[in-house]
Amino acid sequence: MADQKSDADVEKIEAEITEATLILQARLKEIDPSLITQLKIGRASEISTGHFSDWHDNWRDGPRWSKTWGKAGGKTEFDFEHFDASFRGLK
Amino acid sequence: MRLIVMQPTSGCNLNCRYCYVPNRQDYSVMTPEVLDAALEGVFGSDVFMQSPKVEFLWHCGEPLLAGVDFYRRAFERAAVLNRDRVEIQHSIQTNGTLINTEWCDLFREYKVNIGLSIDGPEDLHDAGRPNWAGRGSFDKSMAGFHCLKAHGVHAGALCVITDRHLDQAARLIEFFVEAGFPSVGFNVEEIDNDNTQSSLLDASNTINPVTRDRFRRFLEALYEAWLPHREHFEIREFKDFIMVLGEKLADADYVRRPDEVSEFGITTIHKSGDVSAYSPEFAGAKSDVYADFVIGNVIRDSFDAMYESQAFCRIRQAINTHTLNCQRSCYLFDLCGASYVSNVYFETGGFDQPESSACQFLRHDVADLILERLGSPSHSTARGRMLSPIM
Repeated sequence: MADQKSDADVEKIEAEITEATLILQARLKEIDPSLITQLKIGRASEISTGHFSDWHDNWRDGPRWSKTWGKAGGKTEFDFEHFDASFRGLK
Repeated sequence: MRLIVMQPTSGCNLNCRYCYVPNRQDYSVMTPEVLDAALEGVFGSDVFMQSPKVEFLWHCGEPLLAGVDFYRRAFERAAVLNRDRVEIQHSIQTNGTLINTEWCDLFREYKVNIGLSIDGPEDLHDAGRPNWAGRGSFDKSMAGFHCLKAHGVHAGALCVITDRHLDQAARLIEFFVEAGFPSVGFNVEEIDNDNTQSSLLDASNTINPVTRDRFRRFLEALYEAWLPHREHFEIREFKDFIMVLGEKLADADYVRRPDEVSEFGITTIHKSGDVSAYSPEFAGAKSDVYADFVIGNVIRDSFDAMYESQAFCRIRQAINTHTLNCQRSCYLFDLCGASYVSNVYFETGGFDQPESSACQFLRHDVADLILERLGSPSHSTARGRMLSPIM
């Protein structure tokens, strides 16, 4: 009985997580694909200087991106200036 | 990467209206015995030495009140005790009022990262950041900033957004750009530890819909005002979100793991030698359930023993529960990772509720703004379309 309840709880949790994930997917799908293609690997010089904490009460100037953030591990960098100018129609 | 938040003193020469640090008129300083035990503990512990880099953030009241000699000794001791030769980075979050040439020489010598707490133009800054006599601190903070600049020491600005700021987005950008700041991070005025009220929240610690709408319009105006300066001036909240979004688009399995909810991602060492884990805002808080969020003391306990302690295990369980609650209820979990955990605790008195006001302002509202700006001209036609593969 206890196992059945536990299984039901796990299924409920998994369903909730799936539902939340689907909402994120839906929002990501609203992104203009022409903007997505401008996401690219780059700015390696920033990563190489190392990671700084992402705690919000610690802020320094300069690069602070981590290779250890999350599972993706910094595989991608973002050409922010190009992206921003493009979607604003400035380039 | 491990972040060690060192609290050399809880004393501060300012009485910021929203500060969450308790005992800000206690000007006693961490003793050499505690400092040595802390550094020996860090550099003698597998918990920290398995990481290639350790960042010491000197933080709490006004950390510069501890004096130049305190830091020179601390930096030298850290270098000596660093037998494994991990990379050490020292950072200081300061109000800037005490900075002079001697401090700048120290910062340059040890390549110290400086975060400067400044809340924008004089009227906005002084409204929130007076000294104990009630006088504004803007002039002294900016004098500190100019001293840093003159000595080639860069500093990012950290600005607390209050109700007063919400109609001043363009002025804020103009100020930070014209003053020569290369970047700014925005925090919202939050209920945390010793600060029990926020101008952005009502009496029940919830966000008034009118305030929420004003905040969203503030973000939009901030974004518009910032665009012309984007090549030389960064806003942390925009850049953070876009960088994390890029990670997610590149890898569907990506999940952000903030330091504040990672095991020993952040360790706070109090002036007394007491140690707190996870969000530094827990340091000094009173709690019977969580033993005042103290997991040990560097004088008597090793960090490895603290890791096994009952107190740490109980807090870890609460943090993990909070993280799971976030994952179950918030679609932004993969991009956020259950940040702002201390805000949840102090706003609601526990870890059961998944969302804090900071989540709503700095996660949901920022996400809405950026995702809208990234959106196709017509969302209706874009809806349901698969993402293009990422290179």
